[in-house]
Amino acid sequence: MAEETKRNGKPETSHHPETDPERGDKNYYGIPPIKRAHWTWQIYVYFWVGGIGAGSHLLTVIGHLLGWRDEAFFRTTKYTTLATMTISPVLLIWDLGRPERFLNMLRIVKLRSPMSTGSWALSLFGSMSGLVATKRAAEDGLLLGDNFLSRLAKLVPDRLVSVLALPLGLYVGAYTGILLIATSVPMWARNWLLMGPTFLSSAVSSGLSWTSLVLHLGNWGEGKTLGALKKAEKIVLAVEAVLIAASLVRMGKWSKPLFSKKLGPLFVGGTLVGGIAAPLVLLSGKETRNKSILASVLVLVGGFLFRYVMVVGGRESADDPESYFTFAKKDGGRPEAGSK
Amino acid sequence: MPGLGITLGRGGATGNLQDLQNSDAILIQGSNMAEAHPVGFRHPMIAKEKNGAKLIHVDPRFTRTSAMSDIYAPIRPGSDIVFLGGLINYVLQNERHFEEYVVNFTNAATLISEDFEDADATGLFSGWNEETQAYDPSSWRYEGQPIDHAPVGGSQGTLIGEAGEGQQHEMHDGRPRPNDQTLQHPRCVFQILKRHFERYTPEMVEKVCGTPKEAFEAVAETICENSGREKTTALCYAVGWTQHSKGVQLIRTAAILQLLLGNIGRPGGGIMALRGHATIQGSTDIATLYDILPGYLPMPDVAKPHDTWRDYVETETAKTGWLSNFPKYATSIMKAWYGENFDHEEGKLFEHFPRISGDHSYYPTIMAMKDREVDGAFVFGQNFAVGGPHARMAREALRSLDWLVVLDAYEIETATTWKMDGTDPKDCGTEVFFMPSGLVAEKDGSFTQTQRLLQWHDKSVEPPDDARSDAWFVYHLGRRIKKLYENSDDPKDDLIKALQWDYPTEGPYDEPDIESILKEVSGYEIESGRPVSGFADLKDDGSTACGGWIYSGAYADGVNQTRRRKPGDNPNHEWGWAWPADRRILYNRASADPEGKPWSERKKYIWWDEKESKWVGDDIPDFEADKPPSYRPEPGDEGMDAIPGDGPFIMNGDGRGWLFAPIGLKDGPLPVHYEPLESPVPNPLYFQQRDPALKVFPGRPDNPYNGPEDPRYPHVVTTYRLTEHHTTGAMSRWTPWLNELQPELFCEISPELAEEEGVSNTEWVTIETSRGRIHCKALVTDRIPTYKMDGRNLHTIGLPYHFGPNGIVTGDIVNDILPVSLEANVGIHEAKAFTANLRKGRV
Amino acid sequence: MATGFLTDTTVCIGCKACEVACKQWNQLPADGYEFTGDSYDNTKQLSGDTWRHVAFIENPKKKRLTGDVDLVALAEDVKEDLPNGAELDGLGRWTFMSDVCKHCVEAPCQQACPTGAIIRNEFDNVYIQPDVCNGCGYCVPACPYGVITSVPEDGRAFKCTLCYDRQIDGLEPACAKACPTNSIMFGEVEELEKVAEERVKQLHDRGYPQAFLYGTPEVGGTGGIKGNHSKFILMDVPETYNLPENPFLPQDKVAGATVASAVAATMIGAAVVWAFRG
Ligand SMILES: Nc1nc2c(c(=O)[nH]1)N[C@H]1C(S)=C(S)[C@@H](COP(=O)(O)OP(=O)(O)OC[C@H]3O[C@@H](n4cnc5c(=O)[nH]c(N)nc54)[C@H](O)[C@@H]3O)O[C@H]1N2
Ligand SMILES: Nc1nc2c(c(=O)[nH]1)N[C@H]1C(S)=C(S)[C@@H](COP(=O)(O)OP(=O)(O)OC[C@H]3O[C@@H](n4cnc5c(=O)[nH]c(N)nc54)[C@H](O)[C@@H]3O)O[C@H]1N2
Ligand code: SF4
Ligand code: SF4
Ligand code: SF4
Ligand code: SF4
Ligand code: SF4
Ligand SMILES: [Mo]
Repeated sequence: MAEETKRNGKPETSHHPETDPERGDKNYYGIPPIKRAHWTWQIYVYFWVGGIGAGSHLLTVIGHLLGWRDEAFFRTTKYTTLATMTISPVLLIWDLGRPERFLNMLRIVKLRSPMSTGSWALSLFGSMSGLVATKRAAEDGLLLGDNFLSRLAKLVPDRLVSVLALPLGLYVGAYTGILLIATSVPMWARNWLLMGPTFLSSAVSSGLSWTSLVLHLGNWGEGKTLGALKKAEKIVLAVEAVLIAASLVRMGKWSKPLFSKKLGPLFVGGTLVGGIAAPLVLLSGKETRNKSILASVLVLVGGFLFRYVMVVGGRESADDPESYFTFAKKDGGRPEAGSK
Repeated sequence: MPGLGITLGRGGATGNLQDLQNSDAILIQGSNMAEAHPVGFRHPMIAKEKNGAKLIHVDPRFTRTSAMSDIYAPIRPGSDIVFLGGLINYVLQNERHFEEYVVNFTNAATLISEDFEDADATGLFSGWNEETQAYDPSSWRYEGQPIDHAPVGGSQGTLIGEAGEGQQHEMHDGRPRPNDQTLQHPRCVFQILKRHFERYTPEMVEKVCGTPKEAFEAVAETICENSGREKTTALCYAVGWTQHSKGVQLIRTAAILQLLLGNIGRPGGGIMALRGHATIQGSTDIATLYDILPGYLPMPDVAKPHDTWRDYVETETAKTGWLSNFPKYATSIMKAWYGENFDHEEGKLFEHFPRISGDHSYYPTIMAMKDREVDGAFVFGQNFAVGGPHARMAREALRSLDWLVVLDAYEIETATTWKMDGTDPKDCGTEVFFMPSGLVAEKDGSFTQTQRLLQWHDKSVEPPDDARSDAWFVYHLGRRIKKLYENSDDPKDDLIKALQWDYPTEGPYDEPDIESILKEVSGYEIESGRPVSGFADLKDDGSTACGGWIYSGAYADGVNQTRRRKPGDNPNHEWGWAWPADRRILYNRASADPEGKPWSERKKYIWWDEKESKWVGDDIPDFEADKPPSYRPEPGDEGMDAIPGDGPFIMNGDGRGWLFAPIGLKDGPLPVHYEPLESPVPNPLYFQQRDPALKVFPGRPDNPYNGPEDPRYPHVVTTYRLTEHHTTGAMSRWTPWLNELQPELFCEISPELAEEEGVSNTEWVTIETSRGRIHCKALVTDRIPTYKMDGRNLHTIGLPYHFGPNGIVTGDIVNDILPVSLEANVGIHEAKAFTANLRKGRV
Repeated sequence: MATGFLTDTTVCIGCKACEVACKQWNQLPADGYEFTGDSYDNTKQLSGDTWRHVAFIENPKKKRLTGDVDLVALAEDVKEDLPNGAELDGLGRWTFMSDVCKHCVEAPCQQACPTGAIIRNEFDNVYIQPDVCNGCGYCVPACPYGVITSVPEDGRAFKCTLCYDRQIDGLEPACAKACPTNSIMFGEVEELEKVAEERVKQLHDRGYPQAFLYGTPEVGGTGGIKGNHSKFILMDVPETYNLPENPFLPQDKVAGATVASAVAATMIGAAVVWAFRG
C-alpha cells in the first residue's frame, strides 16, 4: 500500500501536484475537472435499439421507392421500427431522474440542443413510423380482424408518411452521435464532425443486419432481397470502417480511452475486428445461410459494443484531467473557431 | 492574563480588532488568527490590502495565517521567549526604542534595589529558594522601597486581572522614586533590561528557535520600521503563547517589546490577546475562576489577613493607583448579593463567606475527584473529558464521582464516560444527570468577546423540548436551595439565607429576566434603584450595589448599552459596550506625548485640550478626564492622586508600564527562556532547564512526564485548532456541514519525518507518550518545518484536538497523551509543546 | 442589469465559510466524510450538493534560505535583499480558491437543456428551475467547468442559484455575505470588472505579474462562451485550480455536425439504393 503511494521513493505528500516536483502531472489532485455524463445501460442500449429502428426505416423507404414487393421484408422492417420506437422512449424515460416529467422534453424546441431535437425527432418519427406499422398490422390482420380501427389504419398513406418520416428517422440514427459531441468531453467533442455520420452508418448497418438476420432465421424473404441486403451490408460496413478510422485519426490522443485496458478489447475485438472486419470477410466469401446469420449477429454485437465503448469511453475521457486540459488549451485540440 | 496585567495593569487585550486596520505592521505570533479568528482576521487583511501594512506570522507551522502574511518565520514550539527576547535585544542594541515614550511612560528609568541579581548562566534570579522551590521577590524591589511586602500568592486572581491590590502600596508612598532619566545608571531598569537580553542574539534565535537569521532580521526590521511617532505595530497572540509552562512570561516579553517600541495605548498598536470561546473574556471578568470575585477582585483567602471584613478591605486596598477604590467595589458586590442583609460597617456576614484554602483550580480539582475527595460535580458548557490535558485521567475522575450533572446541548463525552474506555456501565457508580441546555439563539444574554466588548443577543426561538437556559437552571436551583435552608438555624447557612435571589421571571417556563441581571452587574443606587452611570458612582457607604465594577455603566441610564448596534467608524461607541467605561483602546493617554500633544498627526487619538482643560479625542480617555499632563503628585498622596499627569498606566501604582516587574510574578521579574517541561533538547541559554516555578506532580504515577531529552520520545507535539471544528468538537462533530470539511483526526508531519518513519500521506500512524497513545492518519506536508539543532533534526507533530468518540465524525482524543502541569502564575497546561514518538501503522 | 461574482483568490483565507453558508442557506446535505489527504480539501469538488467549494493548493518549498529551514515568505519590497538569490513570494505558498458556477455569458448547460429548465433570470444569472428539470442529466457533461451535477436522489441537476431567492429580497448571496475578507465580491458585472482591473493592476505593481482575471473573453480562457459573470483573480495557470485554460461552447458544433450527418445520410442512403437495385 505504502509503496504504491510513493513516488521516486519519497513519501507521498499533501502538496498540490502542479507545484510538487515529486508529484508531476498538472491537475488538481487528479480530480476530474468536468463531470461525466451519468448515462447508464439504458442509454447505450437505446443508442443501439434506436439505431436499428432508424436503419430499418431507411430500408422500408428505399424498398418502397424501388417498388419492392417482398412482404416479409416490409413486415420485418416496419415491425422492427415499431418495436424499437416503442422500446426507445421506455428506455429513455427509465433513465430520467424524474420519469414523470418526461413530457417536459417537449416543452420547448431548442435547435442547438441535440437532446431537445432528438426528443422531438424520436417522438415524431416514432408516431409516424407507428402509423406506417399500424397500417401494415391492419393489412396483416393483426388488429383483431376487420374493425373500425383497422379500417381507419388502412387509410394511412403509408408511403407518403414513411418518406416524410425518413429525415426524422435518419436524424434519430445520427443525433445520438451529435448528442455526444455537443458536450465538453474531449473524446467526443473532438470528433464533432464525424460522430454523427459514424453513428448513422452504424445504425444503418445494424438495421441491415437485423433485417437480414430475421429473414434468414425465419426462412422468409426472397433471394433477391437477401442478396441486396448482403450487398448493402458490405458497402455500409465499409463506409462505417472508413468513418471509424477517420474518427480515430481525428480524435488523436483523446481517443485513449477506447484503447484502455477495459475498453480496448471490446472496441478492437468487438467492434473493429468482430463487428466490421469479420462480417466483411464472412459476407465476401461464398454465401451460406449460416455465414449470413453469423455475420449479422457479429454486426449487431459490434454495433452494440461500438455504442458501449463510445459512451463509457466518454466517461473515462471526462475523468482524465490531462485529457481535458490539453483539449481545452488555446492552441490545444479544441475545434477551431468558425467551423460550425 | 497576568502577562499583560503585571506589565500594563489590566489583563485584557489593549485595543480592539477594528483598530488593527490602523496598524502599519501586525505581528501575529502564538495565534493562528486566520483559522481561529477568521472574522477578526478581516481587519489585518484590510490593513494589508488597503493600507499596505505588513503582516508577519511566527508559528511552528505554515498555516492559513502564514499564507496571508508578508513574512512568515518558522519557530520551534516553546522557544518564543528567545524570539521575542531577540527582538528586544535587536531594539536595544540598535537603539530603535521610542526613547521619549520609554523614558516617560515606562519604568525604564527607575532604579532597582542593589540586592537584585539577574539570571546569569544559571537561569535563576536572586531570591530563589531551592527548598521551597519558590522565589522570594524582595530583592526585585524598586530602590528605596521597604523590603516587607505582601506575600505573593494567595489570591492569584488579582494577577489574572489586574496588577493592583496589595502589591502597590508597599512600592510607593508618593515620593519620586530614585531614577535616572538618562537611562544610563547601571541599576536602572533600562540597563538591566539591556544586559538581560544581551544573550538573545540573532544567532541564538536561529539556533534555539530554528528561525533563519534572515527571517528573524526581516521581522525585527519590519516592526522597528513600523513603530515610533508616525507608525505603530500591533501584536496578536492567543493560546499558542498561553499554553506553555511559561506562558505568562512569554506574554510579558511581548508586552515589554511593545512598550519599548512605544506601541501601547496608541491606534494601530497594542497587544490583542485573542480570546477563545464566545464569552471567555466574560467568564473571567464575572469570575468563574475559583480565586477571584467579579471584576478581578481578590477572593478572601485563609492565608491572608482576611479574618474580618475590615481586615479584608484594608489588606486589599491599594494605596495608590486605581485600586485604591477597592472598598467601593467590594462593598457594592456584597450589597448586590446580600442587600440589606450585608452590613457594610461590621460586615458580619463576611465571616461565613468562603475563603480559599489551597489550590482549587481546575486540574487539582480533577485529581481530587479521581482520588475520591469530591462527591459530585456540575459541568456547564465544558467538555473536559476531551478538552483537558491528560483527558483519560479526567474521565477516570468523572467515573469516580457519586453524581454528576452535565448541562449541555449535546451528548458530550463528559456525560458519557460511563460507557467509554471499555467501561462496563455496570461497574461505573456515577449517577449522571444530563440536562439539555438551550443554545445561544435560544436565550437572551450578552457576550464579552476578545476586545472586552459586551454585545447583547436576544432570544430568537424557545429552546426545544426540555432544554432550558443555563440561567433558568441556576436560578431555579438557587431558589430550591434557598427553600431547603429556609428554616435552618445553623449559622453556616446564613449566607444562603441572606442571598438576594429574586429576579423577575418571564415566559411559560419562568425564565429569569437577564436584563435585570445585567442591571445588577452594572450597578444601581439602592435607595432609588437608579442605575449608576459607571464605577465612579460606586460608594463604600453601602448606598450602591454593583455585581462587577468593571462592567459598571453597561446599564447606564437604564438603557442596555450592550444592545447598541449602529454600524460606524472605529472606535464606534454606538456598537456594544466595552469595559472599562466603554473604552476601546486602553491606556490611551499614551497616544499623546508627556505634554499631552499627539505624538503625530497620523496617530492622533486622545490629547489634552488646553482650552477645555480636559482630555479629548476619539475615545473615552483612559485617564482622569481633567488631570493635566503637568500634574505631579505630592509626597504622601494616595489613590489616583499619586498618579502623575504623564502616567498612562493608571492601574499600576506608579502609572508606568512595567518593563521590569518588581513584584507580582512567581517566576521572575524578567522573562527567561526555559525549555518546555518536556523537551528533546537541553536549554541552550541557561543551566536551568525548565521554568523553576512550574507546578508539577511528581508524586502521581498516573501523570508521568517524559523527561528532558528522553530518547524514547524524540519529537515535539503541538496541538491546535482547525477552522472547521470547534474546540473539543462537542458542537462541531454533530454538524454535517463541518464534518465533511474535516472528517477525521489527522496529524501534520514533515516529509522528512515521514521519510524517516516510512510513512506516506493518509497512512495510519501511532503517536505515543508516557500517558498513552493515539492513532490517526498522517498529512505529510512541507508546511511543517523540520528544525535543526546541533546537527540533529527536530521534528514537530501537529495535532488538532477536536476529536472524540461521540458525533457524526469521530477520532481519538488527542488530550489523552498530554501531561498535567501547571504554569506558575495561572496554572495553565502545556498543550503547545510536549514530546512523543511516532510510528507507522496502528500499533 | 447583470449581477455576478468576482472572487479574489489572493485574499481568500481558506476558511470555507462560504461553502458552509451556501449549504446552510440552501439546506444542502453533506457530500460524505472522506479524509482525502489533499491538503485541507476534503470535499474535493463542486457537486449537486456542494455549490461552493474551496480549493487548497499547497505549494512545497519554493526556495532555500540558510540551512534547512526555508519557509520564509517575505514582503514584496524586501525581495531584492535576500541572500542566496532566494525567491520570495508571500502569496502563493498556500493558495485557496473558492470555486462556484461561472454563470457563463453563453452557458453551455443552458444550451444543452432540452426542457428549458435552465434559464437566465432577471439578474442575468444562469438559473435552474427545479420544478421543470426532469433529470435527463444532459447539462452535466455540457458544462466546461464541471459545475452542474445531478444529485443521486432523483437525477436532477443542481448548482449555484446565485442566491436568486436572496437577490429578489435585495440581499447579497449567502456565500458573499459570509466571506470575512471580501474575497467573494458580489455586484453588478460591469462594476466588478472595474474592481478586477484595478486589483490586477495593483497586483502587477506589487510584483506579481502572474495575476490575471479569469472569465473574460479577452483575457485567457473563456472566449468560446463569451466570458463569465462569475470571475476569478488567479495567481497561477488555471489548471492549478482545476480550471480549463480555454473552455469552449460545445453547442457551437451542433450545426456543423448536423450538416455532416445529413451529407452522410444522403451518401449512405444512396449506397443502399445502389446496393438494393443491383
Ligand atoms: N475555528 C475555530 N476557531 C476557534 C476555536 C476553535 O476551536 N475553532 N477555538 C477558540 C478558542 S477556545 C481559542 S482559545 C482560540 C485559540 O486561538 P489560537 O491560539 O489562534 O489557536 P490554536 O490553533 O490553538 O493555536 C495557534 C497557533 O499556535 C501555534 N503554536 C503552537 N505552539 C507554538 C509555539 O510554541 N509558539 C508559537 N509562536 N506558536 C505556537 C500553532 O501552530 C497554531 O497555529 O481560538 C478560538 N477560535
Ligand atoms: N490539546 C489541547 N487542549 C486544549 C486546547 C488546545 O489548544 N490544545 N485548548 C484549550 C482551550 S483554549 C479551551 S477554551 C478548551 C475548550 O474546552 P471545552 O470548553 O471543554 O470545550 P468545548 O467543546 O468548547 O465545550 C463547550 C461545551 O459547551 C456546550 N455549550 C455551548 N453553548 C452552551 C450553552 O449555552 N449552555 C451550556 N450549558 N452549554 C453550552 C457545548 O455543547 C460544548 O459541549 O480546550 C482546551 N484544551
Ligand atoms: S465563529 Fe463566531 S466568533 Fe468565531 S470567528 Fe466566526 S463569527 Fe467570530
Ligand atoms: S459554469 Fe457550467 S453550470 Fe455554470 S453557467 Fe456555465 S455551463 Fe452552466
Ligand atoms: S438535467 Fe434538468 S437542467 Fe439538466 S439538462 Fe436535463 S432537464 Fe435540463
Ligand atoms: S450564490 Fe448562493 S447558491 Fe451560489 S454559491 Fe453562493 S450561497 Fe451558494
Ligand atoms: S469565505 Fe471567503 S475567505 Fe473564506 S474560504 Fe470562502 S472565499 Fe475564502
Ligand atoms: Mo480557549
